[in-house]
Amino acid sequence: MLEKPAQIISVLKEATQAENDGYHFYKSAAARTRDPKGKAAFRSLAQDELDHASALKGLQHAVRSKSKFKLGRKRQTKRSSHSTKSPLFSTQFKKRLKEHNFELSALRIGQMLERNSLEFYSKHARRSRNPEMKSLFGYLAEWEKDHLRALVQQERYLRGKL
Amino acid sequence: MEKQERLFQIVKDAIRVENDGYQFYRMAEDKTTDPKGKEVFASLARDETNHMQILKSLYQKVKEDKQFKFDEIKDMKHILETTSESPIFSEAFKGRLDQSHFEMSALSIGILLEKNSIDFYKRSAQEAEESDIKQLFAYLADWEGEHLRALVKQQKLLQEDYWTEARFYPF
Repeated sequence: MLEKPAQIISVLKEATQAENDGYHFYKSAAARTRDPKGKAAFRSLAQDELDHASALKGLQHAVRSKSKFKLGRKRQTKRSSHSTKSPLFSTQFKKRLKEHNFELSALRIGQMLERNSLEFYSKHARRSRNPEMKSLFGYLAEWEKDHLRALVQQERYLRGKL
Repeated sequence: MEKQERLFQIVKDAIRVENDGYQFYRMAEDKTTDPKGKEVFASLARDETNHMQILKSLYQKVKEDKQFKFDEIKDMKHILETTSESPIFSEAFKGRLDQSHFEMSALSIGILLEKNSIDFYKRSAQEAEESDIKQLFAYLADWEGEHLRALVKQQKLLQEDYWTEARFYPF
């Protein structure tokens, strides 16, 4: 049986709050780090979370107004976790690194947020019978997985494991 | 992995977990404009620093082959005031919810961090073999539990009004 609109809205509300949390966290991290590449990368992650929140809002509007939901095209981010060992920070940053600094914690907190979102989207994409929610959540899960990969790779690089 | 090496790994991971909390609460303290929020986030950050000190002393004791005594640290706990209706932010904060997006996210992220720490310490307490070390991890789990209760209480007090007020911020 398809979920009731109120159930879908409630899930979308929770997802939107999580995206807002990510947005505020990355925005604050961008302001706090001194590494120029790190600043740009955190800003880009913050923008991604805003885009996700926007897509969620679009689906919420479609559910309320019983209209069709159309997924926009994914913004091309310049970050690539595969082509560089240090996808988020400059390579010089590693030389200035101390064990207990803000940036390493920011990478770990970011991973926690991304894992949380990934689990949430994957679970609801699996369970939902609403095709639009299924498709949007599957898409967002993939996107969060990209973020997670970059954050993990960056932490490993800084800790000298790459 | 040898028992001692495994314990060192757990303690190193615990210090990282505490440092994440410390860095996050320091950032929240700097960013919030609510005076009570500033004080409470500073106090949470201090607690995480105290936890790191305890863990570093445990590491040192094990390294020097000395016995870690739980009794020596068991009275260090600073009690976070959780009886008031609004344990983190001032009473006036509720009237400024439409401008409090960072603070509402800080509560959600703080809750996730504390839950992670509690899970970590509970697992570590189960894994530890020495009674004093088991007690220490259970004590830290309990201490983080107090942080969690305060954050959850504050979030519950504000969440519904925030969602109504913010109408799915940022739109």
